[in-house]
Amino acid sequence: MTGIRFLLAFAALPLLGLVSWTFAGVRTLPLAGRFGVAAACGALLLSLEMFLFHLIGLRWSVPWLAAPLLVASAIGAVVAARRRLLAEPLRPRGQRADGRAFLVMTLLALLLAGYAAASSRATSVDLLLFWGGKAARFAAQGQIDTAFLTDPRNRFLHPDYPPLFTSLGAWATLVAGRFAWGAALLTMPLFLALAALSFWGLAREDLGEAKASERTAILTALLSFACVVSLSAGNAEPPLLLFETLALAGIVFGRGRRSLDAVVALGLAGAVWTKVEGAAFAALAAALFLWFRRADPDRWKRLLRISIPASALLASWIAWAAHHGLLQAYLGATYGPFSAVRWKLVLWRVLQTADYGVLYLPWIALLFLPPLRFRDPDVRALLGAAGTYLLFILFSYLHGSFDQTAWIEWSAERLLMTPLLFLFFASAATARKAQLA
Amino acid sequence: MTQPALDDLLVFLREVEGRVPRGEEIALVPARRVEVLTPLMFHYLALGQLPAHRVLYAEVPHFPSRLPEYVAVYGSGLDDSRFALVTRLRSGSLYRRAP
Repeated sequence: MTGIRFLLAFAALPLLGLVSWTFAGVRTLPLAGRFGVAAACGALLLSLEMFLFHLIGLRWSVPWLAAPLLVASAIGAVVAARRRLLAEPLRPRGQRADGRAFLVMTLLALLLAGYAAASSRATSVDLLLFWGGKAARFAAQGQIDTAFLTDPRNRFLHPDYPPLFTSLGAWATLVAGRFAWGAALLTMPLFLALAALSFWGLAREDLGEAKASERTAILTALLSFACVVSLSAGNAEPPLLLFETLALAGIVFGRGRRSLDAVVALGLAGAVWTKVEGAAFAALAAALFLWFRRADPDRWKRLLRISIPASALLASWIAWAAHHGLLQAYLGATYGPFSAVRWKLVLWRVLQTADYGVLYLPWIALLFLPPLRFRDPDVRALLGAAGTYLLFILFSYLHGSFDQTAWIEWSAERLLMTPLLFLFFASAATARKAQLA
Repeated sequence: MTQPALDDLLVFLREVEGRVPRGEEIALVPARRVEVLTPLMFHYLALGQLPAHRVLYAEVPHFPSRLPEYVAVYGSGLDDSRFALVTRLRSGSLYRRAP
């Protein structure tokens, strides 16, 4: 029962984020898309609320945490209904198509990811050492345990990692009564399913049902495979991928509609609030936003608006961490100062790791099946973002004066999922152009 | 390293958790090696598995300057007259500071 309650706490996230349904851009999405956005919104709002409770010294408890969000959700739902905001979703281009084959593929990928996660084949000791451990201790303290984080002995537990995933783990621990180590593994397929729903909901209008279903199946298979190989079950990568998917889908699809800016803002804010490297992703996604809205004279104003939540969250977390003397990763100081001496070793090891044990198949499939339109400026922009993120990965590993081989072998497959996602969206942009032509 | 390699240690910590009152000080002493786990990683595991306890860092044969109330020894027993055996568990023993 503990495990079921733990998972139900995660499954309740859409209920806690229904306020997102009042956003004009969300109301026109199909139900699947609205569900994914609501879950992401619930995760972000809940973890933000837990941070605020911590700041004002209010001890976490399930009723106190749930009540404000449920009230907001109820008000949001009433307002949405009164204004008829839950209008008929925008119809996709082209005729309705039977996407059952791709739905089966999507479900199969999620099922395999779930099996790998549940059987501990897709997780690592990181869950035991810090993701789960921090969540369990925070729940026991009823707040972010600053004494625990500031203990010099715990400096290898990444004390300045942003709080979203550990907060969600603490929330589920409060609901379940204890941290459920086995159930925590299943958060991976859960967040992957939410990413699939979000993508399908946002892509359907532009791609049409058949293409959107096909691309959703490819995305799900890709992320499931990468998460399993990189041992990401119970880690923060799956929620990070959800937020990154939301941001990129909001940028690439929707034909630049202003109403989707809220979805992009949610994706950026969630990314920076989930992992340190989410800030690098957000910076690149902001640049892509400008590029994809280049015909809009208001694009800078819109950029400012979508960036405010992410910037405010990032600044507040860094300020909090700096106040407690916790800053490590944001300063690049976790493993020592920057040094380019071993650049050949780092480059070689990262490239080796990028093969995911299957001779680079994920990259090859996205590049050539079907072939990318390299002449398309949007595709080139997304490839540029992937390349820039790869440079960021290399820069990250070029710290410290030790042989980085073990570090890269341990973590690079996880970091490489973000450039893989950029590449997937380059492929999706190619499909979108073909559909619009 | 995957979790199956740690099963025995995790089960041991679960048994310890149920026998030590919440809020008490406890140290995990790794008297038996588990693959590549360093003493510090043993300590980190204990922090997560015993979230309601105050976990002190300890390495055989050293204890922190302040003796913990409880000591969970993973592996062989503890030869230290300052502690009395509470119970033997499948993969180790639990001790309490002698009166």
